[in-house]
Amino acid sequence: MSSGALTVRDLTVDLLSVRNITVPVLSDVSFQVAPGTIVGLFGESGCGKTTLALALLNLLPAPPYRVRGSVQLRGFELLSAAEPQLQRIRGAEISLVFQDPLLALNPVMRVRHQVAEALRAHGRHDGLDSLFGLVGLPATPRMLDAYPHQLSGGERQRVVIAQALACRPALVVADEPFTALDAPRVVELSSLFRDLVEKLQISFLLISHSPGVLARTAEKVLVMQAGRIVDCGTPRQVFGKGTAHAR
Amino acid sequence: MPADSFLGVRGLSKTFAGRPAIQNVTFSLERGRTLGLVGPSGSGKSTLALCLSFFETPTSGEIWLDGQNLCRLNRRQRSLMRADIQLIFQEPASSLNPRFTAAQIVTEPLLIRGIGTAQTRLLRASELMATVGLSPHALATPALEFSGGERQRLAIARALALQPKLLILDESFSGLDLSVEAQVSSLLLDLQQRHGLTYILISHDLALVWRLAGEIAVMDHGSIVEHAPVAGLLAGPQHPLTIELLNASLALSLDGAPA
Repeated sequence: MSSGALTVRDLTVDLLSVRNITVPVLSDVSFQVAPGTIVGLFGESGCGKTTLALALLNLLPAPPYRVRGSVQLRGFELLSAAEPQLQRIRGAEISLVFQDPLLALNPVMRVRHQVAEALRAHGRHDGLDSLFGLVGLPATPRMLDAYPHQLSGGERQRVVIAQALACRPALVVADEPFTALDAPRVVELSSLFRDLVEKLQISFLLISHSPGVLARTAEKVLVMQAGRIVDCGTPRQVFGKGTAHAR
Repeated sequence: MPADSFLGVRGLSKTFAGRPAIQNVTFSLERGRTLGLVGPSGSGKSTLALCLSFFETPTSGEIWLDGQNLCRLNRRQRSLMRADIQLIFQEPASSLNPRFTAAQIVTEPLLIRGIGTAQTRLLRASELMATVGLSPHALATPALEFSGGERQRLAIARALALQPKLLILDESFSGLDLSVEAQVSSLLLDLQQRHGLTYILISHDLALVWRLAGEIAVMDHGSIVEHAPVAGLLAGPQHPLTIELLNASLALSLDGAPA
């Protein structure tokens, strides 16, 4: 079981609501992400995709959340790890890409410094230029010294991906990273994800509600409904079954 | 042309700090029809939406709605006309006050205009909730506790409260999953049939535009570069950008994915 980049077993998350009712958010979620693969997570809004993403990084605050089960990254248990250990791991071995790069980036900081910050936080001081090259951005002064608002949506999301890749993590969890982009940009960035997997042998957990995006990028797709994994297989197997999930 | 069609936009430009955001935009739209507005980020789609809905004042040009020139209205007339044109934004989470209940959100436009009594407003709110497929029992629930799709329906309910003539949907679907998207789009089609609503639908998703809109305008660098009925545009796209958008959409459809 420990051969996977990520192994999740019986992950169960409950939320204690304000009225003191326990609401199950995730129930017995188990799956594996093999090294160098993209696993897609597909499901309707509110089914628990983002909660799963946060639970994987042990980012859900203890009250109101109660998290049980096991999340192992390269065999290391994250759910019982202490905060200082988690801080070393987050961003270095497992990192997170959010939907809206304008919210994820600091608006008053040049992108050069924002990406360097991700490196510096984990004690590294070089590799900025190659990191920009990796995500297909020119390491020119126009790019490096730009503020986020001066870049296009596609460029901004590439900067966020550069941050996520700064320490060459084993796994990147990307939560709807293409939603704010137009179709040509989505095609480019989904190809970038494939390239990164080939080049770096990293893994992605790609949360998306677009069957087309997942069919282009993912080896395996997990379908989630009401906090449970209800289907799993190749994109063809999952989306080919009928029009229930796909358009 | 401007006065005869329901919505007529002529030579519309908007400049921010010397930089043109939209330039010389001209188009018209008939009542009860849907115009899909597509184009890359930064092409001016949202600026056009903001100008049409009184949130920005155009630098030059004219907007005619139902025989009235919107750029020549005094304050009072403008505030009355605002009810006729409603804008629904991309991110319902940021356009709704998280601490307001559904009832407060949906009745607020009525309250601001002093329409009805507290009781009739609440009655209208439960009608609107039912119209958008939400349970009237959820009226007391705070916005924070709704899912993304439910919040978007709440935003639509609020937009419908004042019985608008023109609804502008600026990427209103982009956070929604497919089943909710299908529900909301059939809701919009249904409302259009029943109330003769006119829509401008801004979206990156050509498949969605194709299903909802009768005609498509493609924007690039602040101008409309191609405007045609949907079938014609899909069959014979003229502008390179239209071709790029169509190809990318095809690549993202399930059929276009590599086997």
